[in-house]
This record gives sequence, structure tokens and C-alpha cells, in this order.
Amino acid sequence: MTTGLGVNTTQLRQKGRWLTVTPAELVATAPAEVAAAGYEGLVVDEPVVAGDSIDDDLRLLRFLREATSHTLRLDWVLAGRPLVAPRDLAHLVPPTRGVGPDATACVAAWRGAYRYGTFYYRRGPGFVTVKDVRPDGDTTHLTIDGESAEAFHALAEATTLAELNPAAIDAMDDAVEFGLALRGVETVLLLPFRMRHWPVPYTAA
Amino acid sequence: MPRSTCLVAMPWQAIESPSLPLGLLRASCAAAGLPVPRAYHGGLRWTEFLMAATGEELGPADYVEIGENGLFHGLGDWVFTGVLHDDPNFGVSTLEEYADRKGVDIELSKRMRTFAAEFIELAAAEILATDPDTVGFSTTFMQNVPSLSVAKRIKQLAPDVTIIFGGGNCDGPMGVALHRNYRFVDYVVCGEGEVAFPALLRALDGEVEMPSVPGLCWWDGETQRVNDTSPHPVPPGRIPVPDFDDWFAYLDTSPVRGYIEPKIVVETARGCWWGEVHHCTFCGLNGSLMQFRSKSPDRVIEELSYLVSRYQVLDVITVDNIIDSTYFKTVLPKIAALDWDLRVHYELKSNLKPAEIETLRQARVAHVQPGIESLASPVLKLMDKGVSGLHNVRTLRDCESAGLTVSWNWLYGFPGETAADYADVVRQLPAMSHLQPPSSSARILLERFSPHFENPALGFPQRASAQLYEHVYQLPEQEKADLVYLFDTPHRGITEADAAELNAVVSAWNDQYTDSYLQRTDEDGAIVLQDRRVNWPHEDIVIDDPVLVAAYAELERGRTLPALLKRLADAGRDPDPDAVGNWVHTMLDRGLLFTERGGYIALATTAAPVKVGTRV
Repeated sequence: MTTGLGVNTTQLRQKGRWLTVTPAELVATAPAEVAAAGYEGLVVDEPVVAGDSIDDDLRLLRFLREATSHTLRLDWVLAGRPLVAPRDLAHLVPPTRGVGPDATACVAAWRGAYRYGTFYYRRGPGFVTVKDVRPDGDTTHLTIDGESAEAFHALAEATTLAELNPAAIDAMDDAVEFGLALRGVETVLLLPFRMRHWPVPYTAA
Repeated sequence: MPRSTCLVAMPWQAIESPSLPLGLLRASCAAAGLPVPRAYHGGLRWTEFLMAATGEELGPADYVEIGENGLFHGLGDWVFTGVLHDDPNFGVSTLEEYADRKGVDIELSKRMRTFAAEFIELAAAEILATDPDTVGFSTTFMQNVPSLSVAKRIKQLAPDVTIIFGGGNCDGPMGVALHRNYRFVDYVVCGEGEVAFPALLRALDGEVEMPSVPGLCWWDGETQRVNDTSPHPVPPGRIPVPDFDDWFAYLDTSPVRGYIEPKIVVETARGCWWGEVHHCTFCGLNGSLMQFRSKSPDRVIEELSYLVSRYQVLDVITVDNIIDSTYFKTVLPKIAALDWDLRVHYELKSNLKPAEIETLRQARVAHVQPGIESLASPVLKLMDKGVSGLHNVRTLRDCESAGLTVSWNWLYGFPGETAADYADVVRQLPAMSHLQPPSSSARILLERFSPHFENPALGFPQRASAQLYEHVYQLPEQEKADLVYLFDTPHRGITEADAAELNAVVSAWNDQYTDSYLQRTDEDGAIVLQDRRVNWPHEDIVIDDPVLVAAYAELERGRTLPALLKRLADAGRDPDPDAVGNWVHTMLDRGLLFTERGGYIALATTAAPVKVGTRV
């Protein structure tokens, strides 16, 4: 038996409760399942390439939206620049760093703008509330109820346009117009994440 | 014509939530078959008035600043006291001298005061525009002077309008004194209003006699009559679902709406089950009625569902002074099952078990007030809190792991406490920088209804109404002594010099918390403590000896050294007492344990909450 304290000064972050995945595995990973399995964070072992196609970028953003919702910590490197407005990234867990000048500049802006809880929705009985306090824009509080709330939930679940019924397509068009969603060629993305974990202090989101 | 009643909640009612008393009285009147009173939301109107008068230089944030931080200096009452006393200079020099002595910033209060007279005139006119026969004021904490100011003006403008006061400020002798000193107040209801207020309205219509209204102060000619309060507190089944319709309708049209996120107020219990048997010596919050009563679990879920659905609001403040402990098995799991993204506030007792904290988290409770008060067991014993310092550290640690925001203040100044009670604890506070600090550390005030107040033998035989009331009320001391809630006393317990070190450490703790983490993770049978606390070495400490891994698990629960050794031996670990003892002291020196009175508890959390602004 030792009476001293074993001290390991190496980075623990990528061991133990951190899961390592490849960029290809990333967008197929369900953050809810990773969090439920007890992982604290997720490491991507290669730079994640963005900016080649809007559909791929929206799939990446969808993963980031869910990771943010489940407060999963991420250690990932960005290559390229997503084909979306910088403001549409500001509420999502940013990359640790970028590769190349374009990605480096994008990551610097992203990390500078990021704060947990600036754009999220909350589910209530028959209604949804949305709060948007991202920087560089108007503060917005919305309450959506009735059939619109059902369409909102369908949009939150959807990955592709093909999954949406006509009512949800209409709702998506409205959501895109109001800056709540992005539409790709085949994909669709509801931007705000579902607020599952309040920060400390609880009033900070 | 049926009686027309207007209920009024003046500043400093919170502007982000409706007045629960007004909501309850509206519902009580409806349940009694009486017309539903109108409501005048004076807090919102005052905020709007300030915004308009100053081009929004003053607004909701300024209102909240006075409302939340002005109580212990009487600033909210002071803003309106010149109007009440028909003297623009009343209390000005007194407050300035007080502020100089205490180091209080009064600039905001002074600026607001310049608008007070005009607002009171407006409020009186707007209330009278509803053509009321009766105007009822609910008053708690700093609502007294603004309410009295409007009531006085209404009486001048419309002498036939009946003025009624009730609420927390009217409990016991305070209500009697208010009635005695402000003759424009026709009636005061002392105690709970759900039964008494509708009964008073019926008495005003001649349907019943005034002496039958419980807790009523009334004038019989020039003689003040004070009816006994009901010997039976209002049972939970008779507490109605509050009616907030008018507040939400009004808020929708208010410019204040853009600045706040509205919250609903829910009451699931009254009284304090701990206080019924061990009244915390400093606490007067339950007033004259301690008896604990809680609503049935089904009723709570039904009421919560109704209010959330009706007002489409997911932020819920429960106003109970303590949660019903049976709710951990009944109400909270049902709330969790609703799968609504609620944000709930609850007040609790601090000896929570880890499973109970997890239940709170699952029920979307985001903010708790566990009544921690101190981490020093001898002082907690003097308070009769029924918990130890180790309990409180464990609660702070486990709430941190669960991501619950914990609000607490460190209280000192208890008769019988000594500097020695604090020394060992204060020395260890830097090791707790990753746990949520107290908002502040402060000397206790003497509160009416507390054991300290009711029983001078507990250490406060000398008392006078608090100095803050000198710039609020123009009354002789004997009247103030009956009217007010807070009292000054000679200091007891530790000296200000002793307290200075505590205050400095608490201040540093507040500075360091956001950037500090100490988290346990498990890896291949080993325990790894990731230390990222401010002013501690940032390193990962590995515990891989199976005996010490087991010992650490025991210390997470809190153990004395003999108990730890016995637990290890019982588990067949065959511990070497010297080696385990040395390890415990090494851990303690490294700031990984907290110790008090021979007990040790591990400080690392099992998860780290999201602290906004620091963690990506």
C-alpha cells in the first residue's frame, strides 16, 4: 500500500470517460446514447472537414446541436469552414482549434461568440418556447403552440426533407424564414437545441 | 350592485412573477361566490413609469436591484416615504448619514425617489378609475410604505372607499400596529386571507358581523377591535389554485415584457415541518403560523399542470419554506415523468441524500435553497439546524455534481459561538473553490417571530427596531417596535475582526468558483481526481490501490478514521491503520478532503456542471 498520492500529469481528457471516434463516425453518433453510457466527452481523432457540401455541414451541425443539448464535451478540430452564417454556429459547441487559415479564423470567431444556452427551445404541454440571445442579433422569445408545436417537434426530429409531411414542410419554411432552421438540398436542421441541462447559475441561460 | 373590489400589489413585488396573494384572493373570492376582484399590478406600473419618465435610463434591472438588495437598508420603503409623510425631505438626511456609516450606495434610490410622488398620484387615480368600493393591499417586506402612500391618497380623493391591508407585514402585532397608526386603513387582516378576506367582504355587505371575521382589526367607533385569528390554519385543500389571468394579460401589453422571462408561482406547502419541532433560532419567516401543511401529490401535479398549460410558462417558483419530504417519492418522480423542460426552484433542508438530489435533477429542479447557513458544526448546533458541517459540504458537493444551482448565505453572530468554532473550517475553505460559494457572509439580524426574538434568554435581551426604519417611519419607538420585522441588537458571537477573515475568504471563493473544478473519474478500477481548482496544482491524482479506492468510496459518504477502518475491515480489506491514516492526512493536506470534528469527507464532484462563460 502506498501512502503517497499518485500524480499523473498527462492529459486524462482523452482517456477514461472520453470516447474517441473518427470524423466519419461522428455524424452517425447519437450524443444522447454517448451521454447515457456515462461518457463525459467525445474526441475526434482527425480534423473534421466542413464546407464541401451544405448537406454534410447540416449533418455536422445536427450532431453538435445534440451534443450541446446533452452537455457532451467535445475535443475536435475543424478543417474548412461550414457553409452557414457564423451566427448559426454561435450556440453550438465549437471546435478546439482549426487547421489552416480559413478554419483557424472560423474557429476563433466561433469560440469567441460561443456561450452555452444562447439559442434553445423548451418543451411544454402543447407548446414550445424558443429563446434566442445569440450575439449580433435581436433577442427573441417565442411561444409556439397547437399544430405549430407538433410541426416544430417533427422538424426537431427530422434529418431529411423526405421525412417531413406537408404541414411540417410549411412549418419548416416558416422556421427558415424566422431563422430557426436551415434547409440544405436534401437535409433540414432545426437550429436551437433542446434545453436539458441548466447551467450554474441557472439564470445564465 | 355587487361590491367592486380592487386588489393592489405595490412595489417591490417581483416583476417577473405575479403576486401569489392577489392570485389566491381572486380565486378565494370566486370560490366563495363573490365577484372576482380586479388587480392593480403596482410593481409593473412603477417600472413602466420609470422607463417612460427617464427615457428608459431606469428600467426593470433598476427595479430588481432595489427589490432584491434594498430590504436590509429599507431602500424600497424609503423611495416612497416622503410621499407618505407629505414631506419631500423626510428621511433624506437620516438615510444619507446611515449610508455613510454603512457604506451603502443610495444613488439609485435617490433618483427613483424624485419620481415617487407623481407615481403615487397616478396609481391612486388608476385604481380609482376602476370605480372600487373596496381596495385591498397585500404587503410583504418593502411593500408597506408604497402601499400606505397610495392608500392614503385614495382616502383623500375618495373617502368612501374602504381600505384593507393584509399580507406578511400584517402578521401578529405588526398588523395591529399598522391599523392603529394609519387611520386611513379601515381594516387589517392578520394571518391567512383565504377565509378571512371573503368573510370581510361579506361583513362589509352586512351579511355577517365584523367580530366573526378571523384575525380582523377594525374600528368600533374610536376603539380598535382585534379579532382572534382562527385556531385552525387554512387546510391545504382549501387553498385555491391561484388566478393569474389578469397579470399575464397585463404583462403581454407591457413594455416590461421584453425585459423579463415570466415565472409562475406555486405553493405546495405552508409552514415548516422542521420548525415545528426544532425552530431554527434566527428564522422568523413562517411568522406566527409554523404548522406544516402540504397539498396532496395529485393536487400538486394537477395544479402545476394547469398553471403551466394555461400560462405557457415553464419557469416555476415554489414559495414553500421547506419541501414536503414525502414529495421525493411522490411529486418529484411524477414531474420528471412529464418530460417538460421545466426550471423549478425549491427550498429544502440541507441533509439531502444523493438519491434525493438526483430526484430533484430529474424533476427539472434547477435551483435550490437548502438553508445551509454555515459549515461549522458548533454554530449549526447553536442554530438548531439539525445538520453538521460535513452534511452541508456533502450537499454542496452533490448539488454541484447534479448541476443544481445552490443559493445560500453564511450567517454568523450567534450567541455562544466563538472564533475557535470557525478557525479550522475557514482554513479549509480554499479547498472548496469548485463548490458553489455563499452569496455573502453576514451577521444575523433579529427577526420577529424567531426564537431569538421570542425568547430573550437565547442571547438578545436588548433590542430596538432596526436603524433602517429611522429613515422609513415617522413613529415613536414603541410603535415601530410593534410594526417592524427586523431589530438591532448588540453583537453576539464572533467580533467584526473575527468575521473579517471569513468575509475575505468567502469573497475569494466567489472569485474562484467559476474557474475551479475538482472532479472524480473512474478508469480501469482506479479513481482519478482531476484537480483544476484555482490556486491548487492542476494535475490528475490517481488512486489505484484497491484498499484506498475502497477507502475513498467510504470517504465520499463521510467517515471518521475509526469508522473508515472498521468499514474497510468489515469489507475484508485488512487495512493497515497507520498507512490509511497517513493517506487520509496526505489527502487532507492536498485539499481533497474536508474534515471537522474527526469526520472526513471527499470533496471531488462526480460530474461538473456547465458554468456559463468558462467551459467549452
